[in-house]
Amino acid sequence: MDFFDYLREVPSYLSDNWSDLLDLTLEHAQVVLVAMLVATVVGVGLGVVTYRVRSAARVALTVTGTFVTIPSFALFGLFIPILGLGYRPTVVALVMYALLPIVRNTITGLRGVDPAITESALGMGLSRWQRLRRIELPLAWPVIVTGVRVSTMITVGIAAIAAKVNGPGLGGPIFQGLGATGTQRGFNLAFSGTLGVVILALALDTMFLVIARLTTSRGLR
Amino acid sequence: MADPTTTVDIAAPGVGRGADELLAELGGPSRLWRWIVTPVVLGGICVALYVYVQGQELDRIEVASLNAPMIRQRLIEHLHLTLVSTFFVILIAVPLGIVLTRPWARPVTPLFLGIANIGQAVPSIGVLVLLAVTVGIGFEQAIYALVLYATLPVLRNTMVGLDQVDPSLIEAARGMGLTSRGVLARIELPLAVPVMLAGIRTALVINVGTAALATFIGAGGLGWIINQGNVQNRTPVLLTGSILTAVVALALDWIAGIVEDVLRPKGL
Amino acid sequence: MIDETEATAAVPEQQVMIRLESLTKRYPGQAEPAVDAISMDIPTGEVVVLVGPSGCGKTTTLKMINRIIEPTSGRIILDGDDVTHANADHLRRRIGYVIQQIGLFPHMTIAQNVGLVPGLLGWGRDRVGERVDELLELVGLEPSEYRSRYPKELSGGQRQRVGVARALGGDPPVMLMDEPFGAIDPITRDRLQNEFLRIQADTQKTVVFVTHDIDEAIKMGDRIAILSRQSHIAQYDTPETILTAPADGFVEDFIGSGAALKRLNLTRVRDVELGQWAVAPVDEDRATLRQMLADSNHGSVLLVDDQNRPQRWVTGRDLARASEPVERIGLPATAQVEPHATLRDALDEMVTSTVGCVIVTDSRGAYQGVVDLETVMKAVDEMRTAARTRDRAAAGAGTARVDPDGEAG
Repeated sequence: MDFFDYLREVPSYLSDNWSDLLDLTLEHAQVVLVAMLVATVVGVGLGVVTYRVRSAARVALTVTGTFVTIPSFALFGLFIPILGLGYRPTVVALVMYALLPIVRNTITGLRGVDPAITESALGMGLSRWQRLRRIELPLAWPVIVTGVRVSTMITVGIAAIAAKVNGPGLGGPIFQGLGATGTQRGFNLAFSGTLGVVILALALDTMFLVIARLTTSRGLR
Repeated sequence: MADPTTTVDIAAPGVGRGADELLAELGGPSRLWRWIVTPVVLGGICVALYVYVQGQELDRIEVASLNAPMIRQRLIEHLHLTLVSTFFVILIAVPLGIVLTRPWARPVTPLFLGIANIGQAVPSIGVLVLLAVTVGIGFEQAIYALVLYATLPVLRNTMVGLDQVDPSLIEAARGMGLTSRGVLARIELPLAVPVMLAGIRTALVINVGTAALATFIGAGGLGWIINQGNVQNRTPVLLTGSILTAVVALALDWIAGIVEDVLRPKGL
Repeated sequence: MIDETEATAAVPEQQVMIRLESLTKRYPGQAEPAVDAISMDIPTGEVVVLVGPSGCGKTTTLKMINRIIEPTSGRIILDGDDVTHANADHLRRRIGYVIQQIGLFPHMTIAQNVGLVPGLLGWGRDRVGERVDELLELVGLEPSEYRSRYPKELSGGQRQRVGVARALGGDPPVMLMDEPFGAIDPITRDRLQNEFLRIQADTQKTVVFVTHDIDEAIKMGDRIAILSRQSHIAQYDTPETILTAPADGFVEDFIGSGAALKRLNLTRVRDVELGQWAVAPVDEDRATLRQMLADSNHGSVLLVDDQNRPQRWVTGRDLARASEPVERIGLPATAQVEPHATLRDALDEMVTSTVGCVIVTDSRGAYQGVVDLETVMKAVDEMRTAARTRDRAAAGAGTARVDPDGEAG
């Protein structure tokens, strides 16, 4: 049997099991979104705190960059002795993974604001906090949201690996399929899991695209 | 920098897995400092790990995983997987990237970029397992999977890098009488080198990570140790596997960084 | 070189809006300070121009007034208050700030940009809205059309107008302007300068204006401070005095040659007697027009529309062509200036005029009179005579000075 032979049987599998798959997809989505929420808050916060001081920005970027370089499976493995198996280590690892694009884009975005704009804001008497909230962040927002989008893409894929450490989501069927290589059932599981991840990733990406559009001032588009 | 607000550019420069451009802009301690600190820190971690393991009373099961020959074997497997797959990725992605950025290929470019975009959404584990389920398990199959997974990001990097070459430079070169091939060889490629190097570095990092999963399709590697530690519930094994994998990944990234620094054309 | 006391002595105490006392800016690692103990009084309601060569520190000095750049030493006294160490943000809300690159906030509408400072000052929503409309009108932008637009939709000249409106938002008593018209094409710049002078005539703000262009300084300034290295004051005086009695070689060099022509910048069109031309509505019949031509001693008639705005010049020969309607014969009336334009501007326009004179219109474009070459020559002559008289008197008192034009006697 080759790939396409296996593939032919998939639609019927999907129509039989779509409800379970949907549950798993929602589980997957939930862990990703929770991680993204935390990562966005922490990441944007880190960016805001460090973007004006080069050395601090360098440290933030190097540290979050290191997280992203470590293979995800190894990161999950490292957390097991500390946080055990399941939901919690998955979220923590995902957050660490998601930080870099967000921190990087926040710093880039904030530093990229036209100095003439920040100077005129300063000259008008806006305080530090007002400048940040009303001028710099809105102007950096498109770049920051892109960072969140990119991060989400990466996170959805990595979350699939979490199943090996008893994490939730679509990784489950994929790993189950691994235990039944060479069978139609194995293929069904692996394919449906993978398909679910792909669809979820694209759906979340589109969602962020729409959010980006809606939250970006018309004057910037 | 490629406009970060347009596409889902996971591995494109400035929007990808690294922060190299931003770090370069932020300046900082000299290269020598960066070159030295990383291996020192990694070495320190390895020493600490060694000391820790030595200090443990290992039971039979743990010793089966944590002996020098086994570790060495897994390490070699892992490096083997990583380097071979990266080699093939470069072999495929770079020429393909060059071809797809030629003016005559413009019509098909959006199609490929679209496929690449969707391809980014496919998880590494999915590729591995699907391949295993259809063509079986083993080293060769793992290489296929790794190449398949890493090609898209590097392809994308190469294309974006070549696209970013200032068109007025190309125009000036043609105006001076260089042929298209001459322009490619003497203008575009040298200017795109930093981006392509970044892409190769990305491929290495991606592959070293995916190779950690290769154990699941019978190709061994350091992931085998991690998995052993996990399913057998043995913390020393788990920690050793995880830390070693992380160290190898960071070390390879460091080496690639040095190569990038050395090979970058002066003046860029 | 004028010493500090002379710069401050000229103005009575209660009319000083800004006093700079020995303001110095020293940057770490540099031997010489960028600004070396500058002291000057800026009178209320006047436009004071800081002008000097590149690197003289004029922009740094300006930016120390609203403490965008913090002084290393010295004091800034604003309307009697020492603000050197006061809260900088609050200080800046009392000072309008216009920079060369403008810096409009691209993610906000024009209305939001202009209304920002009044909002910060706590004005109510309605009051802010009214203020925005008022200011947009003041700078010549129709409020209903421009309130909801975004900066990216506006041209450079329009953006700078918004920049000025925004700076006026909170009705600050003081305005700081750093080469505000520098990044704009010369034609628009001219127009904006004239507009600003018109606004200033209405609002009477205290303005400190930085430029490197001596012509702009002469045109815009009630007082000019010519700054040399480290913002040492070479001369701080009215434009007329500077042009007719430059303090030293540096000032002379800075003014450059052609002081006579530069003096044309000192007289405004509204200060000279306007000539009158034969003027008729555009729908007048030809017989009447011919009669007017005959009666006047000019070669053409100026046709205006129903709002008295000049449309075309029509000669006798044009009138003879019976086949075409009146509104299409003749040449368009292009050379026009407003009353606060300088004679220099008038001369520039005259060169492009079809009939050798320039039409003076009010702010709505309605005809007021004309300025011709004779008028300009008369003004130049008067200035030169006055200068010569001064020189002779000075020679008599023993402090001879050569007329900057190099003319004798």
